[in-house]
Amino acid sequence: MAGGKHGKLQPVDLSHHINAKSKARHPSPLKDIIRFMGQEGMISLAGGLPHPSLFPLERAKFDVLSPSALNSSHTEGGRAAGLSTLDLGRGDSSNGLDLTRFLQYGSGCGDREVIELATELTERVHSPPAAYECLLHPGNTNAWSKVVGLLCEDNDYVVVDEFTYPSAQALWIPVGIRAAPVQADADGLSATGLRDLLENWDESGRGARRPRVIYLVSVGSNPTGISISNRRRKDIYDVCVQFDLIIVEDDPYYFLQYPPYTPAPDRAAPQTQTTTEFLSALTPSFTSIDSQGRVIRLESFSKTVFPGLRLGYFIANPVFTERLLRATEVETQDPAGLSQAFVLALFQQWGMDGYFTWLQNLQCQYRQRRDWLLDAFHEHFAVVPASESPVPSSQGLVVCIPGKAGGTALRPVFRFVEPGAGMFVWSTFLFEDVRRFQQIKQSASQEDPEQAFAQELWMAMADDLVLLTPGSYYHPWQGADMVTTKARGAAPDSAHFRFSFASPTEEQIHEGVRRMRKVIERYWGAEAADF
Amino acid sequence: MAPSAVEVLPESDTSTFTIPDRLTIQSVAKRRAASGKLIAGAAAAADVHSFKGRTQHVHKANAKRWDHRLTEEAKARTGSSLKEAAKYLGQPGLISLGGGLPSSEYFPLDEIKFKVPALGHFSAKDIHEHGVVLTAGKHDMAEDKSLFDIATALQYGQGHGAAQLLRWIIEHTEIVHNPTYQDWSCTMTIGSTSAFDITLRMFTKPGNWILSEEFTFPAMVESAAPMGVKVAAVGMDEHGMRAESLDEVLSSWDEKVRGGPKPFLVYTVPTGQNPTGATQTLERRKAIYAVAQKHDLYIVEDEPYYFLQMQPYTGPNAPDVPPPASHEEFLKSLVPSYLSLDTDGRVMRMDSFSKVIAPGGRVGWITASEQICERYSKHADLATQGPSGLSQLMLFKLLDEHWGHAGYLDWLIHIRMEYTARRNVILEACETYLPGDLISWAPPMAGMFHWLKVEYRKHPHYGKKTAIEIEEEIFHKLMEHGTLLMKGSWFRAEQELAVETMFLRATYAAVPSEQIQEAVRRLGAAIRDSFGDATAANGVL
Repeated sequence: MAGGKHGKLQPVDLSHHINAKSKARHPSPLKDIIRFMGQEGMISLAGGLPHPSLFPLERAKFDVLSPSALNSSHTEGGRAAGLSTLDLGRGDSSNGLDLTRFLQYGSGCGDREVIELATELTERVHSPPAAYECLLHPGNTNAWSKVVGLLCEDNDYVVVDEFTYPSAQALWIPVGIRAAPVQADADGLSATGLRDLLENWDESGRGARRPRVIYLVSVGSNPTGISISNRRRKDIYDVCVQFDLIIVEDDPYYFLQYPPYTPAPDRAAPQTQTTTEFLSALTPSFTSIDSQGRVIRLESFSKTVFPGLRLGYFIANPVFTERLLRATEVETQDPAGLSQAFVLALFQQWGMDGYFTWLQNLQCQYRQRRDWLLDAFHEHFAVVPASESPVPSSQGLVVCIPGKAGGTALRPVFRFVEPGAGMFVWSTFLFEDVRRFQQIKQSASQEDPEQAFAQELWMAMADDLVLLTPGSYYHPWQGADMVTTKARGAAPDSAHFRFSFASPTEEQIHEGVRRMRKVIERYWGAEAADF
Repeated sequence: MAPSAVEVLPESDTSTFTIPDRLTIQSVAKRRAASGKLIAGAAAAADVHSFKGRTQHVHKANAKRWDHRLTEEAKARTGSSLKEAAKYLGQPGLISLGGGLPSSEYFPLDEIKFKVPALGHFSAKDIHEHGVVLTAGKHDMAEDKSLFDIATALQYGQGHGAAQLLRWIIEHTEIVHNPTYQDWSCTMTIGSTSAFDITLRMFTKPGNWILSEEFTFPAMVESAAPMGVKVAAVGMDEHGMRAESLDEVLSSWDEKVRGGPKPFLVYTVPTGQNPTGATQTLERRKAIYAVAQKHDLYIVEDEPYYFLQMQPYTGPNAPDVPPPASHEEFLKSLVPSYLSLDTDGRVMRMDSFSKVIAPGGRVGWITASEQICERYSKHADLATQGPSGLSQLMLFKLLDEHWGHAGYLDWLIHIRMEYTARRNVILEACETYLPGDLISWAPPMAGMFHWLKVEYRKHPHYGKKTAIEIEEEIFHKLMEHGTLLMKGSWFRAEQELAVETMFLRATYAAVPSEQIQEAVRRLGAAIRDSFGDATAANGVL
């Protein structure tokens, strides 16, 4: 662990947030002996490491793309141009990285040089105002699991966005933790809503103490694609200071922030920026405004390098990283050595600025994909600003189909907020005009007509070979009695679907949206039949 | 892997069904051919039944169910709903605008080369001079060059690990252990540390006790303690955990005194145990299994050192026992695992590549009944996800594509002979340099550790100082003489119990031979110094 210390603010004392379980962790007594091992002339028979000459891997070579590879896009003989080789060998290697070091057991906190790299990245990108430390973890899934193990007691509530990443909560549902959702708008989670929730928390009514943790995917949220605006972050942070909340910032999409969408004919090619321009255009993270040390940031290389690394790091107040290290020692140990070695060698090859060039190009690539999806919406539907739509009170854009033959009126199908980051478009489908939905609703045979119709629509699309992700996956878990649309207090006559533009090609996106349009025609169209 | 997914055999298959022989290395290829080419793209669910051979195990009974032992938390785990949706992805022509996987075009890696030992040429020098280079390309699967590639291995995956490597693991498990019940399964872990942590969460609640050897490794105790789970010590002898002691602890369990219900989870390292180096004999394993049946226990066998079983120790002047002449002889030389004795499905075996390939891979697996594996992988989906893709790809290339099962067994025999040589060095040094009246030992048959019993009652401070104080004094004397061993008391499972024995733990795994000899010489000098000096000092008083 290491962290920028010079000129940093002293974090406020937040040790009372550490739960009983985490307080009970002890360092391994065996660690005591390590300090004796280094003594001059000492021959130690105390260790428990296997012999490295028996590791059957002498050398690993990685042919990697150049930082600008995604910009050039030309290939030679099917292979990417401008490859360079990272060479990691046993004993001496040209780059000074000994493979043995990464194949042997680690210390728990990760390789020292990888930690230094994480710290340098943190300083360049976030420059946290308070003292912090970085600690490696095997991916944000595990990182979040460790944070829950650090802060939450069973039966606690955790504050989340009104739609939230399902795996994050599937982790804690079985231990009785529930979500306290706060609604969001185009600027992200509502600070006022958060304040209301906390101010009016009724311990006896809820049967649980006031929440002490807020979980946020603050840029390009999964699933809503929304980023919390700069101004909103400050407001949220202030509320968290007032009510003593720890902010867990799970931010894998941070570098995938895009300029606003411009329709295809007027779209200018992206301009190459300097690293400084690139970084300063990014929304400042919660970590970068965290003067008190109450933000635990989960960093991951999954979206910027590749997911299979299973490697990321915490940026947090040392009072938390010390406890997280204790958990790491007995829960996971270090992330995989090859993953650590690869990242270190990659950064040696690319340099820090090379990595930022890579990120800039990656951003352009995903931005292009976002544009393909929005292009397809425009091609197959009428997309109008909410204020000019049949549902003027909405935010963002409304996707419509023409009304009755010959008329100019539009029928709204779904609305969405244009994503300025991430991989997703979050849509709210509007069912009010759909005759089939009204039938289900009136038949009263369904406890939750919105979800029943959403399911039918999803199956109809799957039958026509286009798949969206059901929005119900992202409903915060508030308990078994708060599952239906009505019980959750969700908007009636609507349901959500998530579009992802991360992996399909441009042709697939257009064809997928065309297929979707056909299904929508059957339900929303003027000719829509009874079912 | 859900029980409902068990294949129902067509009538024609069962009518002609004969009990198959156990899987051998020779029959792996046949089984694979019968299953057809393995096609497993990004985050594909593994078809464990086909890896096990669809008809291979149907004559066996199913495992017991463990609903009464799993916690409510474990039973309530639903896994990731996102991965549930993945099953719709198989429809031909389907366009998914739903998935959130990043595009593999954007993985900044084009090709990987691993230099590894050629078959049968395993020494470091041989690897250097004759090593084989294995290549993994980005789209080898699409180009029909391999069953696994960069684009798939480095994408998000299932909690159970990639199907490609899991198939090899299942075959290996069957070749070595041949589980005796029908619905056994394997799922990958990110190492046994994580596997044990998840196991505790599946089976224990605050206030529970678990059982383990009276000397065990502290990280195990430390992972249980914050969960409010305590470890009850079971007595040991030179063959490890004693069955009578296990029975005694359970039969005399007093909930009031212990403050918790009678335990049912046994954690044991049966082979080359850390720290004692003890290996349970087959008879011992059978006896412990019988106690487990009597008290309805669930056994977690943590076996990192299983393949560090060594040749018999013949003594300093006798000729060495020649290495196993064949794979069959090698496999027969291994003490049978609990898994192989487990008729009820009451064993979870934890395997790890850490001691036989490299710890930094952070890859292991568990073998248990489908019910337990399914609960485990659901938890892993949310708590860890699968192991590193780079590690899985390296292991697949080495173990499946290059060595195969036969080459891997050759490698294990190589490791066996290497560790045998190291063990012999320390034993010979001990016989040369240590005062036999003060220190005694049993030659370790497996693992990395040599466990030395210290006759502390002969120490001049015995009766004046506590055993722990005498141990501390000896420990400092060792350091004065320039050698370091682990104090036995650090490994005590129940620190509250009275100390009546004293031990030191030495390793011979990673220390060069000359240094082992010198360290043991220093140890002998330090012990004589501590026992003798103190005697002299005593005489003055």
